[in-house]
Amino acid sequence: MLTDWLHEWWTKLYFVLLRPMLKWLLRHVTGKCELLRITYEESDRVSRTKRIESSLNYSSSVDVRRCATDSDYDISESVSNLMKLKDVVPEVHTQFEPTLKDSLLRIRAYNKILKEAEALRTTKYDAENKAHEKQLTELWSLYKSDVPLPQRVGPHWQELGFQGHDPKTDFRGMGMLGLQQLTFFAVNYPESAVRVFSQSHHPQYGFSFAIVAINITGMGFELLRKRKLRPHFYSSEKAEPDLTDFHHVYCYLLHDFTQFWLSEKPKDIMEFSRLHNKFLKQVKQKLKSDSPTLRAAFQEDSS
Amino acid sequence: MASGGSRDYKSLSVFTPLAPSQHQPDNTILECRVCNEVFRFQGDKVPRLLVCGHTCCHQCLTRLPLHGRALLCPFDRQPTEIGDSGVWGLKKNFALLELLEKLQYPPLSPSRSLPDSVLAREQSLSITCDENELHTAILFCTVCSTHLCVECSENTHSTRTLARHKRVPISEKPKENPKCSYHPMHLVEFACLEEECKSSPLMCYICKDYGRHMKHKHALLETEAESVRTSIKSAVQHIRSFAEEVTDSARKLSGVIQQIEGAMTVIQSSEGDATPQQVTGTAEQARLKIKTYFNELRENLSRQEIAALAAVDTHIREKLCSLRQQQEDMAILMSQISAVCHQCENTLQQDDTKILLAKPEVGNLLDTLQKQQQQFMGLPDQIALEPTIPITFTKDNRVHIGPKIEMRVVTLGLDGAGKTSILFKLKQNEFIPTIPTIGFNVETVEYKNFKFTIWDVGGQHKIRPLWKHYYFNTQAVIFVVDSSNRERLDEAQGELVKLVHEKELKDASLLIFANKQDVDGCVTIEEITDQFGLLKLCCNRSWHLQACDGMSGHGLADGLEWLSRQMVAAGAPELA
Repeated sequence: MLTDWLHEWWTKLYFVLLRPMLKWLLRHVTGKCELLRITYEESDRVSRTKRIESSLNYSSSVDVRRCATDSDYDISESVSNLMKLKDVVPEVHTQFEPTLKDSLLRIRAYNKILKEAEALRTTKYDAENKAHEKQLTELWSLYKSDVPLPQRVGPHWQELGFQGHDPKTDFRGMGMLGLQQLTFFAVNYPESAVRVFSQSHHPQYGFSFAIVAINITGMGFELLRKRKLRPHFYSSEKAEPDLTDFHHVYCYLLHDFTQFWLSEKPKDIMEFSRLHNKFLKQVKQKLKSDSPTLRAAFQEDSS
Repeated sequence: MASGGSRDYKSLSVFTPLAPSQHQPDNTILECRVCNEVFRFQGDKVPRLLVCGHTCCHQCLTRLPLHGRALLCPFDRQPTEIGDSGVWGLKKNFALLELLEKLQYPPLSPSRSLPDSVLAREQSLSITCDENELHTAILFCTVCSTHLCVECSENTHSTRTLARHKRVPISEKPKENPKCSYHPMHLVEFACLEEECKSSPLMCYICKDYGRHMKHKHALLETEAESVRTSIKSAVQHIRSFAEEVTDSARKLSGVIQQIEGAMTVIQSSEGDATPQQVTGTAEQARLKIKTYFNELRENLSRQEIAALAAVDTHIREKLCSLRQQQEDMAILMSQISAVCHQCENTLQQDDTKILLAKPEVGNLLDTLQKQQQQFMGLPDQIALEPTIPITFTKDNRVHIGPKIEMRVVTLGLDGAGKTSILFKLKQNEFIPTIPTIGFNVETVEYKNFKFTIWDVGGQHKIRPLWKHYYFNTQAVIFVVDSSNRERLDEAQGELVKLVHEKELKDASLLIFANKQDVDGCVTIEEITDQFGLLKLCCNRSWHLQACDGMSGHGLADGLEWLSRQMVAAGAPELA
């Protein structure tokens, strides 16, 4: 109780009083604003973007904070506004503008991905929706190309690794995101997808492919929501990643998890929670490491 | 001979004179007072009456001398005129003869000759005696056409002639049809069969041929009476069997009453002596059962009380022991501290060189002291300094010491029933659309003074065989049913039946959550109770069906409340 209370007061004190004082002091000592200092101090793109993001986030100005949280705004205008606001002379600090622009692009892209993914996730699978139904039948033909779909509802869905006779109940938590990522994997990496699918039928270490895939969607989305994927996106070559890049991360996670699962030789499916958490820990460690890009060998040539 | 009951008067003549006197010495009053010989019914010894009223036997009278045409009485010398016929003309003394007959042949009561059963039968006809209205007639004199009781029959038919009247039991009395009420000269011979004459069907032949029953359908009285008789007979038979039934059930009732009340019965032992013995009735047995049950309860309770006290005693002993140990440690620490202080003070007294030399030593001492201080600070003192002993009781009356009662719970149900959603709702009070559970989730949920460790196992068809690994040591099962999905209720019921019959779960409490009650058109808990046959299925275990919905969390707390009540004895003190 007491510690919580103290913590709360300390954060309040810090942000209301100490931080502005510190910033004011630093600004007058170094003659540079915080953003400018960051661009000079951080050469690494990931940590630089992260720091810029938090700096913008903690800003007292709503306009400035908007740059860190919004997914739809004009970058060039914001950059020039910021430079005016902070009295940065572009002629003196030549690197400032392109660096800030790059970081802002990535931050905005990340927010955009999150927003789109969230929208997809909250879209419930609707059996009345023709597009949804079409995607589901497509899923069948992608993984079971040799067998035509017998009927819309039936026990054959369990072959794909769904729990019941109707896959729609299994999409409850991840919505259309789960379905879309599952099809994306098969469309973009047909060989790997089919391999992973056949690995899920391992006589001893087999698992239910579809629901594990949905669990992996959940894992990926949690990482995205908690902004743990920032190192991956901030370090990528692509200046403005989009939702498909998140889908690529999903493909990586599903493929790697399958290999990890098989290598762990689990006793039965009940080990899933434990191995799931273990794998997640490994992923998080990789994201914190120097090479935070989540990309597998099979993905190199195709994109 | 006399006792033989023969009424053959000829046999009387062969009587020897001595024999009656031998047999009946009292008969002397019936002797002739002249010759002292017994009077006879006939012949020389017939008693004859004189005018004066005295009686002598015939023989003695013939021996008396005649005085003209008269005889003089031997007792009072009174003359009695005799006619031409002589002594034979004198009247016999009938009164004496009658008396003689009675004395010598005492009336043989027909009651003796009639068996008792016949007597009873005759009495049951209850026809009054014609002689005395208070008596019930038994006999019918065919000559006199009178109904008589035995006594009156003897009285009225005592004389020789009357005694010859044929008397039969009333039931055997010859039948004779009565006279027609319209034509008293004629007997009733026919019966009218017409509906209108039902009230007076009897008729004589005049009534039949010329009278009021002319041209009526008729039958002979005998045949008609016979048919009525047979119908009555069959009715009687029917009544008799009915009566038998009634008596039978009455007997049974009395038997049952006896069984309930208990009775004395005579029991034949092997040696043949009969000893009366009290057989206890069921009422007594029931009472006895109650007594033994409560005695056992009391014994159990006292045993449990002892066990609980022992458990608390051990707990207190351990706690006190560790506290004392800590106390001792403090004392040692205290002495060490004071020793160090003392040494430091001593060192301070010394001169500069010695202080310098003692520096490392003192430094060491202070270091160890500091370490001990750190250790001391690190002690979890707040637990040890808690003087209260929190106690509560579990359902089997065991004592539980500690602030929280732990309970292991397994959540099961079909896939998509809402197990994980409920778990997270309980844990974080937040509804998240979940992803299919592969394997299981485990969370601890605190509720009041309970700590539920909830294992939420996936409901996928493939995983269900693995559920059994989670049964061991499980105190409660939460079975979640998706109330909005009517098609899968049968499947859910199948799984529930399997769970109920699981040996490892036989003592576990069963909480059934009828989830998704917020969905329109969902099944109600009454329907589920009915469709699952819960009353029968779970009849000998503690179970509860709780309507809930994971979205709002409505009903979940009630479910946990029920679960917690399953663990704690009713009336156990609540832990703060």
